[in-house]
Amino acid sequence: MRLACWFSLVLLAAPAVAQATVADLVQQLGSRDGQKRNAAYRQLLANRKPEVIAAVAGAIEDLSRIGQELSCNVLRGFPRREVASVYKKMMSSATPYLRVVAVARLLPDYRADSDRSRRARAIKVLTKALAACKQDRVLSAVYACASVRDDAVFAQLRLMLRSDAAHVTKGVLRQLLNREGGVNADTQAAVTKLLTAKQSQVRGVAYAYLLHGDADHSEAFAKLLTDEPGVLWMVMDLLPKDKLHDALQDAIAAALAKPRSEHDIRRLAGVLRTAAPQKLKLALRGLVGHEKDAFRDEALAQLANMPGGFGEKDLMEMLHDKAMAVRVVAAGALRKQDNRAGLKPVIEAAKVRGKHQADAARVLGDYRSKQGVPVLLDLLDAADARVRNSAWSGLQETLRGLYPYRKFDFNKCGYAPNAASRQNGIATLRAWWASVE
Amino acid sequence: MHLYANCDDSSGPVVVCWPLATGAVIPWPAMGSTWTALAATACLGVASSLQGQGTTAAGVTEPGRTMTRAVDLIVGGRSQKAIERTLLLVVDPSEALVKAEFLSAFQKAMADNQASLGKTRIGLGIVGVKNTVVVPPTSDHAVVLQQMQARLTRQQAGLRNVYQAVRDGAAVLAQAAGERTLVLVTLENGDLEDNVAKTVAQLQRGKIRVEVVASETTLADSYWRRNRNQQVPNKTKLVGGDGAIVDVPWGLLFQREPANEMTPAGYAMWGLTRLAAATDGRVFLYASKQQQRHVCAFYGTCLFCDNDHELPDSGWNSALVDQVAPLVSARRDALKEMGRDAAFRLVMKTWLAAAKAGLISSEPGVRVAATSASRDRARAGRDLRLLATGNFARSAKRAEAAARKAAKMRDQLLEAIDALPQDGVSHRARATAKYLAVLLQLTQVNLLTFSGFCRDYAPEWFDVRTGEPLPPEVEPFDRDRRPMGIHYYNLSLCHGVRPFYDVELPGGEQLRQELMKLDAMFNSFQRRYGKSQFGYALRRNGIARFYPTFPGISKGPVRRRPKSSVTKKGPITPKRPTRRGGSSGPAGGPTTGGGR
Repeated sequence: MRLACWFSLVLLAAPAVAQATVADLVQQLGSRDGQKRNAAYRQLLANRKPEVIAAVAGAIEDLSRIGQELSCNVLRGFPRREVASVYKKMMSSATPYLRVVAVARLLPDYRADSDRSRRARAIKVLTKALAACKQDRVLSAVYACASVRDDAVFAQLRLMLRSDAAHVTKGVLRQLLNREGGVNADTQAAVTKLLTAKQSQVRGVAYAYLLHGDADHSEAFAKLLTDEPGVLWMVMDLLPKDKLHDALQDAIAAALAKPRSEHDIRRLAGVLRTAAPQKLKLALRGLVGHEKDAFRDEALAQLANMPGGFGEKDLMEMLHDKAMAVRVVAAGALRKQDNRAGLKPVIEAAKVRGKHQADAARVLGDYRSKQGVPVLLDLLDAADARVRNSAWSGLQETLRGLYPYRKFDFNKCGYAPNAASRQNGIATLRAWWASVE
Repeated sequence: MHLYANCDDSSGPVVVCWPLATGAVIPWPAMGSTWTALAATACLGVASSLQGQGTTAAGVTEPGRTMTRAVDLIVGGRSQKAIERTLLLVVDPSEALVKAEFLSAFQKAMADNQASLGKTRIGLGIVGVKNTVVVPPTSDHAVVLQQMQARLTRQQAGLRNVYQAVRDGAAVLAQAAGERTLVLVTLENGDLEDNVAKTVAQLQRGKIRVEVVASETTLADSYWRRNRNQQVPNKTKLVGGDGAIVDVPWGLLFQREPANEMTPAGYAMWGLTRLAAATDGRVFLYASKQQQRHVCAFYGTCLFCDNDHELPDSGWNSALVDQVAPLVSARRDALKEMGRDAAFRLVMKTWLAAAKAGLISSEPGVRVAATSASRDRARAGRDLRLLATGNFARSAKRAEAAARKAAKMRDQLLEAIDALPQDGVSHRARATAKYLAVLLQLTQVNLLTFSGFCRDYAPEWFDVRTGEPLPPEVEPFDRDRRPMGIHYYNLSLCHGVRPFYDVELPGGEQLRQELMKLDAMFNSFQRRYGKSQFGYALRRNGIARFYPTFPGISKGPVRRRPKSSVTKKGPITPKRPTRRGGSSGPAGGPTTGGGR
C-alpha cells in the first residue's frame, strides 16, 4: 500500500518537475551568462513538447532583450497552427519587437481574400510597432519581418533611414534592397537625401545603395573612400559585386593593400572578384610579401582560389617554398587543375606540426588518394583538434571516393575527433585499411 | 571580320579562312593586308572545297555572351551614320529574358546610339500575341519603350512558335522603307520549328535582314529525339540542336544521360542560325553567369572534387570551336553536303552498326550511300537486356560478348579514321569520328566493369555465407532481399581517366588494361579538341557505377476523380519541361551557354 502511494506521488510529481525544468530553461534564455543561455536554448530547441510553448508564452514579456529574441526563435520551431494563439496574444504586447515578430509570423496565414481586412489590420500593427522600436532594437525588428513584402511596410522602413546612425541605415537598406528586388525609385529618393548627412559613414552607405541602380555617384563615392578610408569597412558588404566604376575599384584595391585583419582581405576580395579580377590579383600579389604571416597566407589562398590567380609554373615553384603554408596552398590549387604534383609535398607538410597542418590535412583529403590514407590515419590522433577534424572528414571523403562499391558507416568504428579516448577507433580504421590495402 | 558572299536560300554567308597544311585554319583578321584579302577571296572556292565544308554557323555567330553588347550592336546598326532604316523587334517574353535584363540593355542601347537612330523607325512584336506586331514601326521610340516596359515584365511559360511570329513581322516589315531589319529575341523557343524554309523565303522576298539574340543550344541536341511525346502547338516540331540534323551519336550504353544534351554547342539552334545566315544577319548568344558555372556532373557523381574543379581547358579556343561548327545551309542541302563527306559517312555507318550491336540506344536517322545521305526514320538501337534481369551470370556473359564487339568496332573505326583523306572531310565529322572511337572504348570499359560486377561483386553481396565486413564498412544491402535487376549512375570523367587508377572498380586486371588504353585515347583526344565543344562533351561522359535493384512495394492504381465543373482545364499552350544539364535557370530550353 505504502509502495503504491509512493508510486502515485512520483507519477503526479513527474510532470511538475518537467514543467519546472522547462520554465527554468526559458528563464535562462534571458541570462547574462552566455554559456548558460546557449545551453538552455539548445535544450529548448530540441524539445518539441507543448509545455515549451506555454512556458515561453508566459515568460516572454518579462525576459531581457536577448531572451525575447531567443524565445521567438524557439517558437519558430513549432508548427504555426500550434503557436498561432501565442502570436495573437503577442500582437498586443507592450514590447514593439514582439508585436513585429507576431505579425510577421501570422501574416502568411492571412492570404485568402476573406482575410484581407485582418491582413490590413496586422500590417497597421506592424508598421506602428516598427516605428515604436527603440534604436537598439530597430535592426532586430527589421530582420524579424524580413519575409513581409508590403508597400506600407516598405514606406515605414524608408522612414527609419537615419542620418545619425550608419549601421541602422545600412541594415535597413540591405533589407530594402533584398525585399524590393533591387533599387526602388521611392527608396532612391529617400536615400538621396542622406547624401548630405554629416556622418561620412551614412553618406557612404547611401552611395553604396545608389550604386546598385546606376553608377552616377561612383566618382563622388570614390573620393569619399579616398578621403576617409574607414568608410569602406562600414559599407563593404553593401557594395554591388558586378557594377563598380573604375575609380571605386581603385579605391577598394588601395584599401585592400592596407587591411586591418586577414578577414578584410577575404571580404574585399569577394567584392572585387567579379568586377575587377585583374586589380584584385595585383592587390593580392602586393600582399604576398607582407610581413604578417596571416595576411600573406590569406592573400596566397585568395590568389590560389582565383581562376588564373597563379600560373601552373608559379604554383609548381611554390611547392618548393620555405613556408609550409605556401606549399599547401599551391598543392590545393594544383589539385583543382587536375595536376597531382602537389600530392607528395602536401603529404610531407601534413606530417610536420604547425599552423599549416589543419590546412594540409584538408588538402590531402581533397586529393582522395590512396597514398594519403596512412597519413590521414596518423593525423586522427593529432594534438590539435582542428587537424583531427580535417583529417577525419578528409578520410571519410577519400574512402568514399576510392571505394564507390563499398558502403561505409563511419559511426560504427567508434572514432570521434573530440572524444577523450580515440585509440580504439583509430585501431579499427587501421585494421580495415590493412585488410583492403 | 568575316567576308560575306551573296547568299540565297541554299547558301548563306561564307567565312573566309586560310587552310593550312596541318589542317588548322587561320581566320581572316590574322591575314593582315589588302592583297591577302584579294588572294583569299580568289581562293574562297578552293578553300571551301578543300575543307569539304559549306556555310557554317561560325560565319554568323558573334563572339560574346552578354545582352548589353548584343543589343548595343543591333540597335546601333552597321553604319555609323544615321541612315533610313526600319527595325522591328520581335520579342519572346520569358522569365529568362527578364532575368537577362533585356529591357535595361535596350534602354541603354537607345540612349547610347541616339546619333545613328535619327532616321530609324522602330516597331515591336511580341511572340504569342495574335498577329505579333503590337507597335507598328514608328519614329516615336518612346512609345516602343513604353509598350516594352508594359509587356515584357509579364513572364510567360510554354512553347511558342517564334517562326510564325517572324513571318507576321516580315509581312509588316516588307512594306517599310529603307533598310529592313527584324530583330528576334528569344531565349527559350528557337527549338520549336515551324517551316523554316518558308520563313526564310518570305524574309528574302521582303529583303529583310534577321538579327537573332538567342541562348546557346547543346551539341547536336538529342533531347527531343528521346522525348517524342512532348505536346507541341499545331504544325510545329521540336528539334533543337546546333546543326541541321543530329550528327553526333547519342545514347551510348551505360551513359545515363547523353553528353550531347549537356554540352554547350557554341551556337544557337539551327533554325535561328539559318534565319540569320540566309538573310545576311547575325546571331548573338546570351548566357547568364549561372549557366557559365562549371559543374563536373549534372546527373552523375564526381568522385574527385566538391565542384571546385578548374577545368584546364575551360577557356575555349574560338578558332577550334569555329572549325567544328555545324553547317547552316538548308536542311536538304546540308544533308547533301554531309553525304559527300567521307568522315560523316563513316560516323553514320559505325553508329548504325553499334546500334544494331546494342552498344548505342539510337540509330542515326540518316541513311548513307556511296556519296550521299538521306533522312531515315530514327529507330531505337538493339536492347541487350543486360539490366532487366537478376541473372547475373547470364548478364556477364552477354556483356563480355558486347565488349568484344565494341573493341572490334573501335579498332575498325580507328583504322578507317587513319585512312580518311586529308581533303574533302569536314573537321566536325572528323572530330565526331574520333569522339565515337573514344566512346566505344569507354563503352568497352563499362561493359567489363559490368561483367566484373555481375561475376564478382553482386553474387558475393547476396551470398549468405559471406561474412560481415570489418567496420567502418557495412553490408551494402540486406542479404534477405532478392534483386530483380541492375541499374547504374555515372562517375564523371571530368577529371580525366587517370584518377580512376586508384579507384576500386570491378573487372580486375583486364579492366585496368582497358582503362589505360582509354586514358591514352582520352588524353590524345583532349590534346586536339580539349578546348572545344567536343572535348567538353567527352568529359560529360562517365564510368558506370552499378547497383542492384529490388522489387518495389506494390500499390493499387490511383482512383481517377470523376469529371466535374471544378476540374481545372489543362494549359492551352503546351508547357516546356524543365531540363537540367547546363540549363541551370528556369524551364529554359536547351541553353547551356558560355563554353564551360
